[in-house]
Formats: sequence, structure tokens, C-alpha cells
Amino acid sequence: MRFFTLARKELRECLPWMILAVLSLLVLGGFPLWERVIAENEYRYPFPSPGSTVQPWQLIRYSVLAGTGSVLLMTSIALGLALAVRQFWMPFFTRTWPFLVHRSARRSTALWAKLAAGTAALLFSLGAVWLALYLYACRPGLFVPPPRIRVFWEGWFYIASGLVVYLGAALVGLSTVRWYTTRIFGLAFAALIVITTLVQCRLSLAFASVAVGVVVLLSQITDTFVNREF
Amino acid sequence: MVAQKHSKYIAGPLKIFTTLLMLLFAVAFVQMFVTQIAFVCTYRPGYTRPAPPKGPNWRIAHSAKHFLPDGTIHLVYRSDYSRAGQDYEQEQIYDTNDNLLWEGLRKDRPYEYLSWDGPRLALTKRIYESQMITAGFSRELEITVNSSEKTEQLWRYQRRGGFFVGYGMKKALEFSNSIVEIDTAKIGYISAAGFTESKADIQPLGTLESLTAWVPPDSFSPTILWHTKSRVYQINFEQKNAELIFDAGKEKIEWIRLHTWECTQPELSGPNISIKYRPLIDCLTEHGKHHLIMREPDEKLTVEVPADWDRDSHAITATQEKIFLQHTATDSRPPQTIRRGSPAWHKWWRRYLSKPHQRWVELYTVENGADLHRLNRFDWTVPANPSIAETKPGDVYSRIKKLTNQVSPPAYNIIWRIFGEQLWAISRRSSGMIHIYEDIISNSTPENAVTNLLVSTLMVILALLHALPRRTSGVRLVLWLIFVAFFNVAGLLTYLALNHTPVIRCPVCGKRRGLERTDCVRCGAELPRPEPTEHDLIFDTSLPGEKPRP
Repeated sequence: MRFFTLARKELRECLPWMILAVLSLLVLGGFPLWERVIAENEYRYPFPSPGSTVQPWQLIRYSVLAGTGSVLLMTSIALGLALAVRQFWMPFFTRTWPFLVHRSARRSTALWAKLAAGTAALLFSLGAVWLALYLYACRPGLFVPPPRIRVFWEGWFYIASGLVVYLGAALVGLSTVRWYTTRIFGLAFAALIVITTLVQCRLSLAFASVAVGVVVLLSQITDTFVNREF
Repeated sequence: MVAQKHSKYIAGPLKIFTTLLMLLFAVAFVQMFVTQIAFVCTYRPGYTRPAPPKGPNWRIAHSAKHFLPDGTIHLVYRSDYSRAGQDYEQEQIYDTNDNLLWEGLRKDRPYEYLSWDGPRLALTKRIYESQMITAGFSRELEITVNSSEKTEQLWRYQRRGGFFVGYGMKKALEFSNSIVEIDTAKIGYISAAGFTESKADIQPLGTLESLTAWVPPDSFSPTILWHTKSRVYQINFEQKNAELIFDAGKEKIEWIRLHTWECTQPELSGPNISIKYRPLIDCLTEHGKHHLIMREPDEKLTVEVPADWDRDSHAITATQEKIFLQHTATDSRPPQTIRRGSPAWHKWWRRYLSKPHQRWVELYTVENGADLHRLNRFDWTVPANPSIAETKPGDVYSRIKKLTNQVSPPAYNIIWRIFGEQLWAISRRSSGMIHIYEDIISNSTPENAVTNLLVSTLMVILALLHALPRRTSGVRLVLWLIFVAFFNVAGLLTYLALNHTPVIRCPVCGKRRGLERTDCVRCGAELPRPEPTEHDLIFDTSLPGEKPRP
């Protein structure tokens, strides 16, 4: 009960950022898709001339959702950073941590409520818009051939990248060490995980990369939060 | 409390892991930054290596050896480079007795030489990398079928199932008064089973090893040659068929080479092409057999070359009259243990070129089905080229690189010595992070292991000096020292990041002591307590049975 109460409070605080991210993704991510729809009606594939050699890379083509994907990745990372700052950095600036950790709830409950609210805000807001954009792109007759299902899952890895950045920024916020020493390592590790995920060719390896990042960062966030003084 | 207890055992090692990983990257970045700065500072644009002395031997060694269809060898030397293109390069043609036969522009060359099959670009990695997620989604292999005016069909490769799916390109275009028909339905599938309308009938083409594509002279649509581990297919999307060109059975195809198969003009033929070549595919299988697939007329042939020939040392071509094989060799070969193209292989090759050595070229004809008959041979001596042996010892850049590599972890040296060749081979096949890690390890591996170990020992001493007054247990201290010895500067920085605690001077023995323990590590005295004041709420902190403290 206390968990849900705390989670609701956290969600309420995350709401403006969620709305901003949804609108940004709809506008900035929808625009390249709309542009592509217009262009597709006039688009002609480049014709190779008879008797010529074709280089294999000329046969490799970008997905119609490539532009939208880049916006999704950027929005996801930005939202992850914004949520972590709102949830884990702002209480230091406003000196409200003691009010939270000295409530009649365990410290770990407060932490999990924060993390659950942040994760849900990130996954549901961006996930819903991404699903809508993908389904729109898959409408019969809009693109020939329609985007592959793999592209849909790759979009979820972009959102998961935002989650990793969120956890990395949260760890940086909670860390007690100095900025010029190892404090920034949480975000640096998150960046490394995001890059590792994006350079994978197999979705299973990308999943493993995200999973390792989430486990490592979560364990350290828990350890730091439970053991530190506010 | 439970969370606190568990988090200690899980988060502790993970914290060491992430800190070490970040610091290894940071050290590698600093090393790279310093060496690049050194390179920029010491680079002189006008500097060139002293040219080796030129003489007849040098010219012979640097001449291309070409064959006339009757087996005569000519040495073609290009003395200068023309911006107008290859055809306008100045050539001198000599016979094997070093007599000048002709001199002039290449386009006016009076001889027509044999042209050979050649390797196609190994694009497996590039096509594989198209599956990389990146920041704009993975890409797709798509082949269009075009008429002279528009794209009619699009065939997309389904990597998971190993087949192509075809889509019609007619679309719903709504104009002000008219609506164009909608027809974007799937056309069917092309797989190892050929064209099928049902997905149930497909058979996977197999994992792609290399891909060659061309547009036939009478078409606007690409035809592709699909080379898998043991098969070669030719897929014509316009005609909707997949023809099995070659099946090696259980043998693995090492590479395929083509000659005029794609209906393109042969190279090196000269201005007037009179030699009639037969389209040829040369498939080399793992046991060293060349399987030749020829057309005009259709013929299949297997040629076995001597086992001691290097697999990339020969080329084949087929004319209407004969099948020729050209073999080039040298008097020495790198040891079998060195993988071709690896850094060790390049090192061996540089040393080899720095000394005079023998080379020769031979021309054979394939007779009676598969027997090799030698037509001609030419031997020459390649003069020594000492300037390419090693980087100069006085080179500031290489000296700084060697210096910065001394702070690399000795672990790199161990990893490179044990797994270097395998790591290099895996890195060439794969992409992304593995390639980056391999690059860091191979570039940062110290050349002088003794100096590296000395630097590492210095780091251990520094860690020991820091740890002695702060130690909480002997085992922990020893483990950290081993850690520092293994990872050098990155290890020391990791140790400092995770173990730094303030120290005070012990009031009893006068030596430094950390605040992690309540008793002094040297004399055992407890931490001094603050003097009691009259406002203190706790007056006596002594334990039961202990003498009350003042």
C-alpha cells in the first residue's frame, strides 16, 4: 500500500516529462515518417544500367522508419536523464530527501517506488507512441514492403537504452563520492552499455547487453541508496 | 538489513568491475591521445623514406609479368602515373632477356595479354553489419526488378529463414479525380527450392559468405551470385529462378573467383579484344581443389594443384582454345602457425622483404581434363628493401607509443600472447565492441614485458604504501596488491577509488592509521575519544566490567 502511494507520488512528479517526451516523439518522430510517406508516392528506386556491375552495398537499404528511430533513441535517452534528475538529483537541491526516507516505510520501499515509477513512465510513454507509429507504418499499402517486425523490437532496445541511462544517472545522483573522482562512472558505464547494445547484430546479444547494464546499475543503486546517509 | 547484507556481496564486486572497466578505457584513451598528439607534433609532410637504389633488378622486380596466349612472358614496367587514367600511363615492355620490345602509352600497346579470374570483395562482414541495430535501425538486403520505366517488384531477403520474399510495387495513389489500383501483395518466395508461391515449400539458401551482383546487358534488374558455405546459387529475380551453380557437398568453399561471368569486359586485354574468353567461376574448396564452372559451352572441371602451393598464389582463365593457370611463388613462406593477414604475418613479411629474395612465375595449361602442363617459367631476384623492415628506432612517435604502452596492464600482454591470433581472427569476423576491445589490446600491448612489469611493480609499491596504514585485513590487502599488479595504473586507480579513507596520527605510537578500524594496525590502541563536556548526554561509554573512562 505504501509502495503504491509512493509510486503514485513519483508518477505524478514524472508526468510533465512524460507528456513532453510523448509530444516530442510524436512531432519530431512522426515528421520523418510523414515525409517518407509523401516521398514514397513519388519514389523510384535507382535503376542500375544494363551490363553494369552492382556493388553489394547498393542493394542494402535503410528502413522507412530510420528517421523515426533516431528520434526515438534521442528522446528515450533525454527522458531517462530528465527522470533521473527529477527523482534522484532534485531532492538534494531542494533538501527533501530526509522527508522521504524518514516516512513510515522502509528505505528500500521508497527506492523501489521511485525506480518502478521512473521505469513505467519511460516504458509506457515512449512504448505507446512507438507502437502507434509502427502500426501506422505497417498499414497495408503505405509502404511496399512494410517494415519488418525486427525493426519494432529494435525500437524497444532504443527505449531500453533510455532505461539504462536513467539508472546510470540515478547512480550518479546517489553517489557520495566527488565529481572529479568516480562519480561520473555510472553515466559512463551506461553510455558504454548503450553503445554495446547499438552495435549488436543479434537481438539476443543486444538483450544480454541491456540486461547486464540493468543488473549492474540496479545492484549498485540499491547498495548506495541503502547504505548512504541523507 | 537483509538488503544491506546481500547488496554488499553483489554490488561490491560489480562496483570493482565497472570502475576497472571505466579506468581501462580511460587509460587507453589517454595513451591514444598522447600518441596521436606526438604523431601530429612530429609529422613532417615533406618527409619521405629514402628511395631504394633503382637498377635493372629493381625494374624487373617491379614490372608486371604478363603472358601472351602462346605462353610468352613479357615484363611490363610503368614508369610514371598519369592523372588521365590507366590508359594514358607510359609503359615499357621487355622480354625475359631484358630487351626493350616496345615503349609508349598503354592504350597503344600492341600486345594482348591473358586476363585472369579475380577475387570479389569479401563483403560478408559488411552485409552482416547491415544487421547492426545502430541509431537508425538495421538495414535490409533488397533487390528490385525494373522495367525500362519503373520498379515492378522488390525482393527482400529474410535472414531468419534464408529466402527472398517478393512484393509487387503497384501502389494506391489517390489523385484529385482518379485512384490507381492497389496491388502490393506478395508475389512469392525465392529460395534453394527455386520460386515458390507458398512459404511451406521454401528451402533455406544458407548463410551468405559473399555476394556478387550485376545487371545483364539485356536487363535493368540485378542478377546475383549467392555463395554460401558449400553452395553457389545464381538468382535471377526477373525470371524468378534460383539456379544451383555448384554444390561442394560436405566440403567448405574457401573462396570463389569469377572471370567474365558477369558479362563484363576482361581486364588487361589491351585495346582490341581478340581473345575469346569463356565465362568462368573458380571455386576453391578446403582440400585445395579448384572446381571450374564454365560456359560457352557448359563444362565443369576439377583441377588439383600441388599441396605446397599457397592458396592465393594462382589464378585461372579459360579461352575458347585452352584453360590456363598462372602460379606465382617465392623462396620462403611464413610459418604455418601464423595466421595470414595477422600482425605477426605482416611483421614476418616486412622482415622478408627487407632481404633479397627469389620469386618466380609459371604458366600452365590444363590438359586431359585436369593435368597441369607447364608452358613457361620466369625467375627473378627481388633486391632488399631495408626501409620497410621496421619503424626507425629514432622515430619520436614510436618511442612515445612504446613509452605510453608501459602503463598498460600486464594482463593485456598475457591475453595477447595466449589468445592474440584467435582474438585477431574473431575481431576480423565480428564487428562493434569486440573489434574495439581487440584494437585497444593489440595497440596497448607493451613490447617490452620487463619494463612493463617494473612499472607494474612500482604501482604495487605505491598501493602498498597507501594500504599499510589503512588495512583492515591481510587477505584483503594481498588480493588488492595482486589486482594492482595485474592491471598496472588502471588497477592502482581502481584501488584508490574504492579504498581511500582518511588517516590520522595514532596518539600512542605516533604512526599513521586509517579510520576504517577502531584499533591501530600497529600498536592496537583504540581510537581516541573526544574529551567529555558538561553538555554530553552520554557520560560513560565503557563496557560492563571495563574500567570506567574519565
